[in-house]
Amino acid sequence: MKRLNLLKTIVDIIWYLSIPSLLLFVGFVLYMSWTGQPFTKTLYGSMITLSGFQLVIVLCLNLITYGLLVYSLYLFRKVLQEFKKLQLFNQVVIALLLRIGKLVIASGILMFISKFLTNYWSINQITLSLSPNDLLIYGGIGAFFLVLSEVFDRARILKEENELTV
Amino acid sequence: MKSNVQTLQIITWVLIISAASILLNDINEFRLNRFIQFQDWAATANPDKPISFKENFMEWAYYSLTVAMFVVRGFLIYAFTHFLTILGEIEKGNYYGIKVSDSFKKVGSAFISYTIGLVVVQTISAFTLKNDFSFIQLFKTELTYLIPAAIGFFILAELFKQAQTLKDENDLTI
Repeated sequence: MKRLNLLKTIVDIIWYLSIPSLLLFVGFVLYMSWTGQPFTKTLYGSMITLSGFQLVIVLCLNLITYGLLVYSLYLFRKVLQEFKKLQLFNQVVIALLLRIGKLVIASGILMFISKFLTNYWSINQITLSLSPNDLLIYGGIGAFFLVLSEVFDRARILKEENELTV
Repeated sequence: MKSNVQTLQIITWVLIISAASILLNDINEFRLNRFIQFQDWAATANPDKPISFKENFMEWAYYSLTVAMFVVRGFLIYAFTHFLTILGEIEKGNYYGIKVSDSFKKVGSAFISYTIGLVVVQTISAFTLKNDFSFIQLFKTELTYLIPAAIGFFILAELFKQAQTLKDENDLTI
């Protein structure tokens, strides 16, 4: 229970910090889309500049990715709240874990597309790297949540069988 | 279920292989740099001039801290190997065995050891070698993800233990 409270506190802190940054990000995307200013950033050690339609697309993709991650964090908080109520293997937890897994995989794919487009539009290069990238890491985390939801579902069935027998 | 587990196993293998190859490459590069430095030193060294204590200390501090950093990075690979054990057990259908909950605990401990090791090595290197060190930067990358993940793994170990009790009760009833 101590560890659960600690994890809940850490997740709460990250959640409360992520909300203002999400709002700031929305404001930034709106401002950049409205003014049409070029945006310069350092990527892979070289300065890149995006502007116009390309910048709006990349920023919107990043915003959706960040939004999905913040929403999955919100769902994860709900899972921890269920655990705190000692509702370990119920339908709500399983559905939440499944949804978190799908959202994290979707955000990994969007992040990959955003980086690919940024690279393509700014350096005119299509690069393929075998090093651990966002798609792999977020895909792994998402798949882990999917596996967890299935394992929890088995535990729920066991629990129901147990309660029926008693 | 099986397809998700297999996907996760492939991703974990890729992570282990890439982390191990990056580590081996860094070790090799370190050895090569040391050899080049030794050659440079041997070409210009004056045998009559003794090596100062400060110079010797800095050399050894740099050497020990780099080796410590390699060991710390090894903890992550160790964590991933235990994660593979968990996935192997789940694939076999042993969802709630003692092996699974023990492996969850080991993954959690490895993550915590990695983070603590990293903070300690970085702090010592900042004080002895006057390296650039920003705690906030370290906090942002490692502490934000690895510490919650480690606590999450400890909680999962407890949950899997409870599920195992349920399964044992079920088996006894049948």
